[in-house]
Amino acid sequence: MKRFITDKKRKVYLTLSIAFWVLIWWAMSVIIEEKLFLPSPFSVLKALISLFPEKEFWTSIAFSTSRVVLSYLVSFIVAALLGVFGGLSERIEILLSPLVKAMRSIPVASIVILVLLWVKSRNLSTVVSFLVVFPILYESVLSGVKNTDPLLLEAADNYRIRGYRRLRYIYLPSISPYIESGIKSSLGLCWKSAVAAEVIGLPLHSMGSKLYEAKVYLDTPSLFAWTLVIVVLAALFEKLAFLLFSMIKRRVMR
Amino acid sequence: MKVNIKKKAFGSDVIFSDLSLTIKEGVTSFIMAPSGWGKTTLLRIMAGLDDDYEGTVESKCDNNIVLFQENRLVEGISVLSNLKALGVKEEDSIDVLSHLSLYEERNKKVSELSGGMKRRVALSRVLLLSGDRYFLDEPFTGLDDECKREIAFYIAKKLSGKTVVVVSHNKEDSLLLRAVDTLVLGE
Repeated sequence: MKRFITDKKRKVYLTLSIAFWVLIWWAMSVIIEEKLFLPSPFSVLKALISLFPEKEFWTSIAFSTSRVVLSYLVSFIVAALLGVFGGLSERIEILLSPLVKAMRSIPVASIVILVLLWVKSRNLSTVVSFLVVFPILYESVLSGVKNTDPLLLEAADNYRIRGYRRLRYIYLPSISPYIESGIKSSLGLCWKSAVAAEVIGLPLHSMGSKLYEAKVYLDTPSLFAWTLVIVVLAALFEKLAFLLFSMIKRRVMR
Repeated sequence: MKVNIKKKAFGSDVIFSDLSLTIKEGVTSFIMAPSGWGKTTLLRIMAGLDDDYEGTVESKCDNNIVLFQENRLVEGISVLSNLKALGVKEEDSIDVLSHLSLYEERNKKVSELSGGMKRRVALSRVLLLSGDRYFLDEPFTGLDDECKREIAFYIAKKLSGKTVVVVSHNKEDSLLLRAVDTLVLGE
């Protein structure tokens, strides 16, 4: 029988697991003995600490983060609206289907290059991460609406629950777990695609351009340090997004 | 309301053939039949939820309120929110909930309630809505005898003068709901 791990123990195990992989990283860096290919955790930490006093470090974080937040919010709102409409009307779903499928399967690199022709590089990451995130969130909302219990819908029809009340009290409780899983799988991708777009578009004062500079100057510890910053920011945003969503959910779905 | 069903079938399985019955308006009619006879199917036809049959239901109306066999509640939200969804006044909801001994549970999520409590929430939903006819499918499922008596008394009072059709396999429910007409089918 599977034994369950308590939350407290889980946190301890997770910390130990991170320590284990950092140890492996350190061991590998000792074996390779070349900072250019694999810097040690200590040199990355040193590079990271050296970035903190720089104004450019914070400006870059602010620039990229604002782009990610904006694109994620817009994606979320558009996906929620179109997902609900698509779930309620098969015609709208069919109309959007080729577009969403194309957005899902076109490689990020192609999207970036194409979008670079349309918009200025400073707005590139916003558009690219919107195009990457939107289909995931749209399909989550669509599935939620389409999987609403038909027996519940029949009762709602009989009791004349329509419009806003139908959306809030019938559909929203059904959609909410799908939205949660959509957030889980899309927020990380939003960061990844935004930074990838910045690396190609090289807008001034962005984290992507800092990654590119680190690559050009073969400054691998800085490359790792910036990557670490992006990973931490993505994890923080995921936590924040869930917190925000559960607050909204608690308020709306009482 | 005159019901004349020549044939109702699910695939090759014929449920009813040449079934005729008359439901009196403004009173409670009770239809009793053993489990598996097709009570729910008959109720759905009478309530206009099922059109896939041969025959006629005379003097159909659009404003039928149905208590479904299943509770069909939104589990993830509170009892009160399930009632708010109906667009009725909160004080009316509180009043009905109090009569059904659910006042204390009003802010609890439906998923936290027992089977009997869920049935009572489903019943409160029906009692809050104003309809021309009420169709109740096994209204007392999961309720104990004492609770059943109290609730039946309240339902009878609340729906007095309305056309109510109740289907059940329990003859005692007919007396509790003060049914004027009792139709025993399937014997």
